[in-house]
Amino acid sequence: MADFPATTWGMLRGFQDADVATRKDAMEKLCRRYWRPIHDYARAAWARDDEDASDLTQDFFLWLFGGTAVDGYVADRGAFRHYLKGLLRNFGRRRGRDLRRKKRGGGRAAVPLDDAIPEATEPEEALDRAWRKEIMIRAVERLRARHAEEAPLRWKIFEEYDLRPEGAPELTYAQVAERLGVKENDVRNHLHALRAKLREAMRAEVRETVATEEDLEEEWRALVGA
Amino acid sequence: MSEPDLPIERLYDVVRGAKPEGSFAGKRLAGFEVVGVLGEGGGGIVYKARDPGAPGRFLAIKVIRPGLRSEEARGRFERERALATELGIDKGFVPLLASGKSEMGPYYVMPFLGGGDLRDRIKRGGLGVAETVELGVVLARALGRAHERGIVHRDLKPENIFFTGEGRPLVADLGLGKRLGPAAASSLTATNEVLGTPLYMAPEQAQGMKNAGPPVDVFALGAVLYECLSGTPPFVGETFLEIVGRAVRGDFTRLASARPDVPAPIARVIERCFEVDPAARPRDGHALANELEAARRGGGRRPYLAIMACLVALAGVAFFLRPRSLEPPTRRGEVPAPFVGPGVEAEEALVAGDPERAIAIATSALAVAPRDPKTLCVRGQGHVLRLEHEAALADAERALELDPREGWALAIRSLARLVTDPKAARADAERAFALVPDSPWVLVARARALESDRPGRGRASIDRAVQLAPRMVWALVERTRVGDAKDDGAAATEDADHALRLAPRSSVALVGRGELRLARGDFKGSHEDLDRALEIEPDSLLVLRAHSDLLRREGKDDLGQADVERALAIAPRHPQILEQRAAIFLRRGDDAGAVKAFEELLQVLPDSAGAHAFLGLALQRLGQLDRALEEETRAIELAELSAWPWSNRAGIRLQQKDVPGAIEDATHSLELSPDYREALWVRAQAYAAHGDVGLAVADLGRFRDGLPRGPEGEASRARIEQLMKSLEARNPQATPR
Repeated sequence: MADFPATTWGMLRGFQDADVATRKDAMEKLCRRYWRPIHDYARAAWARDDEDASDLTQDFFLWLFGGTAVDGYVADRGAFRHYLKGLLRNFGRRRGRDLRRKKRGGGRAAVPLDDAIPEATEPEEALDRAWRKEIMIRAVERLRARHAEEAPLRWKIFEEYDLRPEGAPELTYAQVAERLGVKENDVRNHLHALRAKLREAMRAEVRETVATEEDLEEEWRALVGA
Repeated sequence: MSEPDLPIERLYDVVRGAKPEGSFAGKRLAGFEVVGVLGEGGGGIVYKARDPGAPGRFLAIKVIRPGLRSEEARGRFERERALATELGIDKGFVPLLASGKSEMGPYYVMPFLGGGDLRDRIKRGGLGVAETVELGVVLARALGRAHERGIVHRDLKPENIFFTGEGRPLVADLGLGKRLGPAAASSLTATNEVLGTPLYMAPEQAQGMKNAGPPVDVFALGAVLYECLSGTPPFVGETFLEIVGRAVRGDFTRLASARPDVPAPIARVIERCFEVDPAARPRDGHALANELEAARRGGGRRPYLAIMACLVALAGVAFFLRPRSLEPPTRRGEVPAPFVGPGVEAEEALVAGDPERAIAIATSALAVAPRDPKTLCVRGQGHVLRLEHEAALADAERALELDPREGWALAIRSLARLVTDPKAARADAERAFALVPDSPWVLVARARALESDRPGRGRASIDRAVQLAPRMVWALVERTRVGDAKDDGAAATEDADHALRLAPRSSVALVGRGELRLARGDFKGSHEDLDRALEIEPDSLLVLRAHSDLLRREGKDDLGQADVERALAIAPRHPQILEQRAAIFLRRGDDAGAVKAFEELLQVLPDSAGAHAFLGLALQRLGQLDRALEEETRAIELAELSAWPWSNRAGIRLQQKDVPGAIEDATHSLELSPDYREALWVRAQAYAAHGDVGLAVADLGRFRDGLPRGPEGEASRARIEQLMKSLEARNPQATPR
């Protein structure tokens, strides 16, 4: 995929021949960017509470980068998100018994039914949900970094209209226009422009985690459903 | 807005409705291979494309924005193309390399400028005065050349000013430009339409484009220069009307208070650009350039400022000339890989002891990826190297929020709190070490923390850091400060020299050697290093503090104080700088000033034993003995094992005629430090007052034996011996050693 822009995941996949340290380092940074989805997976799969989930997330990192877990394992296709799920499943299998016991109460009592507890499917859904959120948060951050200062008015309009908190009263373009002392048409135009940019920022964010255009489109469909 | 507040699902709905915007991946444009979008402006989108003639180099191709292909937009684009043909690189404008019509509409090709735009530069922190004036002159000349051809830019802003790889500024984006005079009749924007960015817009332009002549560009350039210096444009507000209203009223913060180091004549020229009456501004670009040059020639408030200004300008140019392994990270629209690019480059700058550059790169990178803990660490470490502890602490805390086990962030927090909370700092350093035992950054921080506990304890840690990172300037410099390294001649000298060989222009290395030389009494050598450091980084607290310390020890208190005041203007509550100021007052014998300064320091650092002890000393000199006693007692509570406050308190008690108390305190002091001369001196006086002449003479004998060799010591020795004799004469039984 010569034409595809060099991305974090794409580069990593190209790093098959790079030395282990370089690959690990790059992989670690990528994983750390998606700390929250990993945390939510851990929360749903193994943890008793949030704090416990944070510890487990940290354990996961230690397992991942402290040992040889990723040395020989670089996916040959698909998006980083899928690879990450694979890693988490793998981590879970290795540590399964301990982890389930942890969830059940810190391993104080013997839990004879351990093996009867099925591998939950919810953790992956939790990861997907957090992933979806993380991509949006990061995209909005990108947008904010570029536009909040450079185009304060445009940003303000976007903030007032599209970023208003969930549950806040709905506004019309005219109300926003009046509030900011601009024309209604300006609100429409600025919103249109920033929304397009939001879309691009999200795609840029997703692009960091895929290696090919096809994977990008696939991830995009998974996120946006279109 | 904090993240959890984001209406995620609504935003997804919004995105589903948004149309794709000029997707470019793999696209070809007029035969060029497009690799990304650089930005938008003046009705066009600018793509980055490979230069087919030069592998590894890039071009910028501007096409009209999709959706804006109205007759008017097209006309505007065409006009820009025409104006750009006329105003080339020799005139100070981004040149037009080729143009034509493509499947995406009309396009024209410009070079891709590797030096980034002025917006990036401002984001990395305010520019120096000299650098700004130089920039102003060059840009004003460029505008002047356009003005003499009857062309007005009308949309000058930091985003439209680019730097070549060599650091030369060029004006871009003539999309709103117009030709004055007869040709204006055909000008598409010669209507009452309001275009341009309000932040840099002259009032008459806000009332309609037809009013815009060269003074409009003068206004904009003045506003740009103002922003370079102060960090914000002169007229800001939430709405267009608010901003323009301020401009009409002339309602802005004077440079004298926004940026006090700007010489008055230069501030006057810049502020004259904001006159509401266009006729009251410099007439055009050339007039503004002339005025700036005149102000620069005669503008220094102090004679050495002019010299410094030149040096700063050189440093600025050097900044752009320095070789770069990668393109600057925040060309608009580009998305840097968050760790491979700026991270490595910024960390390299840190290793080379160039915190200013590291901070700049990290700040740019953070604008794109604000949640990357490593980049936050790079910047935090940069702040530590400039002694900007509050900023360092903020970055470290943020990094730790994102990743509580980021060892480097713990190390930075340790360094930032070492003065204010040494105990917590030591705990952080040890935690950092437990997490990442092989990080040189962590090892140096740990060495510092251990040293603050007991000199010499940091030795093993610092040696390991140097072993792991033999080219790290900071580690080498810190090694000269460990234990008694300063007194140890060769090894410390070699480290300091080596650091400077690695990085001859590093403020960290220069301060390191300058301080080492100072500790050894080599004032001249110290001056050489610290003066140079000041030239290179005139606003670094680290440099200012070291420089003022040198001047203080030379007895040039006034000059030292000037450094300190400059540092305090940057960081008004910086404990180490406040300490320096207080020390200067004390040395000058300005005890009232010293009392005030130490009180200020204690507001920031309430548990500093040293500050309490010094305050006690100054109060004692002012005759406020009760308060002095309180301060020394507090110092003793805080640093029980330090001989010094005990001895100070002994002196105060003696003055209060509490002779037994004085003897007790002085004895305690001598138990802690057996040859402490101040304590011997006080106790001798106390014994004499108590009638124990023999003991007094014995203490004086010990005092005499501790005097330094050399002429100065000899004189004191003679006086002490005379004193001993006269005491013995009063009490023949006394038998001195």
